[in-house]
Amino acid sequence: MSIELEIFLETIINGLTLGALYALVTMGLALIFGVARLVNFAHGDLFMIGGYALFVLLGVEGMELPYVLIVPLVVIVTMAFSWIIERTVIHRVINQSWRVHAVATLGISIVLQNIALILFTTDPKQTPTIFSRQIIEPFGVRMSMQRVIILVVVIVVFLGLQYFVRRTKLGKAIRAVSQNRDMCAIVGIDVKKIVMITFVISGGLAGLAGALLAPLYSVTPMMGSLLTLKGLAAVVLGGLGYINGAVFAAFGLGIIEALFSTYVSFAFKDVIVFGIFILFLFFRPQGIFGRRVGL
Amino acid sequence: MNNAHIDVRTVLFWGISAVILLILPQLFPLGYLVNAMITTVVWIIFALAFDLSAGHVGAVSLGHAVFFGVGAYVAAIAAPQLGLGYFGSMGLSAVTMGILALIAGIAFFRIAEVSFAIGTLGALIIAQQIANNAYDLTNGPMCIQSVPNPTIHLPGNAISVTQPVEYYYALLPLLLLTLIVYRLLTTQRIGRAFASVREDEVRASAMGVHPLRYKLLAFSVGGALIGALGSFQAQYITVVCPSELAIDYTLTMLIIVFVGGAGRMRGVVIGAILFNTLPRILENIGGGTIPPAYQQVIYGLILLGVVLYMPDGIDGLITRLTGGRKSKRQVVTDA
Amino acid sequence: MNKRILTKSATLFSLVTTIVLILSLGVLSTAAQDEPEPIKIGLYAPMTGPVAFLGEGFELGATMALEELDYEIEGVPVELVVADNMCNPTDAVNAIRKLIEVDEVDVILGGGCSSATVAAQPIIAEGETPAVSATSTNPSIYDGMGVGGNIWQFRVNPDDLIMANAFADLIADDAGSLGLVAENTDFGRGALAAYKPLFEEMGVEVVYEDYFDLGTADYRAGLTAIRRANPDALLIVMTERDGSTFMRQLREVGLEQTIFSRGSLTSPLFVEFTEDDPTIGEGILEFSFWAFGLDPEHDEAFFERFDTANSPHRGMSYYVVKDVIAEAIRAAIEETGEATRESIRDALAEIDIETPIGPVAFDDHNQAYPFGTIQTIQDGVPTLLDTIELVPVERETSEE
Repeated sequence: MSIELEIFLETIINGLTLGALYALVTMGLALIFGVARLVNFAHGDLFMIGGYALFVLLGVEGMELPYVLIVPLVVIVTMAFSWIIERTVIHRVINQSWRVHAVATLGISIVLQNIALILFTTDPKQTPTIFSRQIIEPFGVRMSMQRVIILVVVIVVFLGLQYFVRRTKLGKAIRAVSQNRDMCAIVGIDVKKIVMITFVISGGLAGLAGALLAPLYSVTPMMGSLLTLKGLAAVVLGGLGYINGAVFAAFGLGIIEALFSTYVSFAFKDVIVFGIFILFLFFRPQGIFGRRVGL
Repeated sequence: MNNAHIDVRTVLFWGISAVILLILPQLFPLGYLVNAMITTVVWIIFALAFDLSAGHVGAVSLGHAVFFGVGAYVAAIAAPQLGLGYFGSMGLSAVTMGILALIAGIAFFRIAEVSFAIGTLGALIIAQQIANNAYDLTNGPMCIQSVPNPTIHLPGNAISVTQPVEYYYALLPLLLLTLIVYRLLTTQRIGRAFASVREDEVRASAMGVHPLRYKLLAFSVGGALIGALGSFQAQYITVVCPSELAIDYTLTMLIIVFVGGAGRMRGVVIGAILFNTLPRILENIGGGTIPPAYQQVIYGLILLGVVLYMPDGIDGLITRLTGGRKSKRQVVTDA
Repeated sequence: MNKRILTKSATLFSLVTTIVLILSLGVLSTAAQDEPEPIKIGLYAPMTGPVAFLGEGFELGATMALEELDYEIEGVPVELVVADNMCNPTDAVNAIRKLIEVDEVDVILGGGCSSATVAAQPIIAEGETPAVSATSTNPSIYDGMGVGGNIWQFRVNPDDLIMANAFADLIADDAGSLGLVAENTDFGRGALAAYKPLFEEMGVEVVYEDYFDLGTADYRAGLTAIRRANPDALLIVMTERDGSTFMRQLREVGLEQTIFSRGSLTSPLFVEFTEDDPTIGEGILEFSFWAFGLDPEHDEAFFERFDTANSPHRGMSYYVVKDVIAEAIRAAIEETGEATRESIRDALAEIDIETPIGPVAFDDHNQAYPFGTIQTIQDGVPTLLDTIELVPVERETSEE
């Protein structure tokens, strides 16, 4: 295989892992936006909490838990945090406009980031796992086993989410709320409760992303901020709350970003990513797949 | 609800405010405090200009810091080369940013609500990345240093502005202009048109109000004012960095306007005063012993408290306390 | 407009303003009322936000120095006051004014983040308060210091122009072609701007050059580009935080170039950040100033005190407070009987001492020339290979 072809292949794989990262973050954002029209600026901070939860759980003395057991624990921890946030803040503002949501979630974000700063200092925490250390070499591209796991989990979670919202009773209720909230209230669906459950699931997805990605990167108080913005871009591109669209957009952005950073410039990559995002909006204001209502 | 007749109490209110504004730096001349006053006035102008589009025609852009930052860069790069003085530089930034806002508006108003907000946020990130990476033009993160101290040309003499107190007084004309423009655009005929566009664009066009035209008006006037403000900032701090295009500005602006009370001059002004004074109080309380990260946590908690317990913003709370009518917004719409 | 509301809101408005003013005044007067006038050292650095690690490092180093001095110099109590400049010019102006005008500090310790440093310069000069920079390596500040206009600003650490002149040929000896990698900040850009013209002179071909925003999570796309450009060696300008993530992924990709670094990629803190896989930092050749091993006793004491490893920011601020600032305060008290801003400044200008990090004496631009160091990581241990005497360099006199 020629070296240029190898480089191209490697770039595509880089793009897929980036896309997987964005997709995991975006799914949760899209879900809660679809159901509650909530623009959650603190979503990236739930991702951060997932990272720190992984760090703490990996470090528990005398109780070397296997990674596969820790991941669900991390998800539960972030879900608990999401539940607290929902009970204390979100449910009180949920009936107001997205602007109030934005300010409220910003406040949450400021508080969470600085508490993390106080508790864990600025030192990046390392969370290596047996998989992140294991290097494999498919098609001459060296990469950590962790990346394969991430890609697999994204696909599984995506399919699982599809099944959940289409086949289960709870999922159908969530979907119904996302499509017509007033009607749901009339037929007796407890909309507030559905919003709460959705927020907790969305937080759990962010935590899952943290638990999967932290081993490749490192955990810091600010690790979620830029991700939230990229995730929001994918949500908008995907058609506001339409999960399939958001996931598609996330992978698209990831691959474009990888191609541009490798072949042109890493420093300018966000100019291109957000530039394409905006151009797309100009020509397809309703998102890639057109306007959809609901999940 | 007609403001045309002159009311003694209104005059009294503005008179007292004007006097307070004028003597404040004389009463508390410490540079640190005057700097805090300048920052507060900067935010009042910034927030009012933002509120023109966010609070009055319902176009919440998260990219307004672009006009501020690029306005500052115009003042740092172009204005000195053209030999412009203090007001000249402000004018240049205002005109260029007004035009930029007009063009951006034409493009972005195709997109609605949340997409509009996130899209404009994307534009801000692009602008900051360019400022950070277009090294030859902007010096990137090394910043444009030593922007010359401004000179104000008056008939007969030229005053060089160097001290915070001088900057404070030099900024007041822009505040006055902003207040007048805000007043003119949000009351009377244009104000009613704005309100109808905000409430329901389709109905507005049916009534013969061209929504896009009014949105563009609010957007570009706001952009021009913020551009002028960016020019002030460049000449005051004398350093212009990519951080002038930081998302933090957008976030603070959102907090001020929506916690203060969008669409209400009083709410926005009080919001700006409160959220500028709060960090200053936090950093000095207890002899300055609270570590910065703890200050931020307290700031965030207070913000959340205001959002949760004052659902209609500070302005709404004041209205309720003073026994005024519940919603002024409706009054404007119905007029 | 409802008249009643207007008057009431006017009252309320004035009330709010008055309360706010009284609060700030009360705060100010309590701050000024401390009885036995201690010497105050102001710490001017980003304490929150993305580069909070700078301020955190300074605070650790300065705290350790003051603890060893027992918070006392020549019988006069000393205290540390912290101001958060958030690494942007606007907050920098607020922070520096707070230190100078409200806290009335006698001397300022600062560094890192040139946007904040530059914005503070006119206020430091106007406020006539000596300020000592500990790790700010950006060459552009040099011109304005000392005879350049601001006699109050000093810098202990060498800047990147000084270091590039000492180190560039060592890199050129080893590599015909180079990839340049830097964090996208004043630090990264400033360092590469100093090195690049020298490499060109020496005939080293730069085949790759890119900048990475702070906090970048995934560097793989950049690493693939490096693999494509295939240079003989890499010069990496990053601090431990981003550098450790970058190196981790570089090892994952399996790039085998020689790694030179300018930052802190061989510091104990870097080793701490990569302790799960000690091979990550193995063999990196770092050119810098402060190094682990210059003062083994302190290195050990630091870890014991804070239970975390030492780094250039932590170490430098320790020596700058313990040796340079404390020495200047001592000399000021000896010369004039009391430590004032002016006497401390004069003492700083006259200082000429040997410290573990090398000689400290300021030239006419208030720039000192401590040791340059060559360091590596050997078997997972930060190792000092050599120290170099740094010398003044020719500078293009910009402007004037």
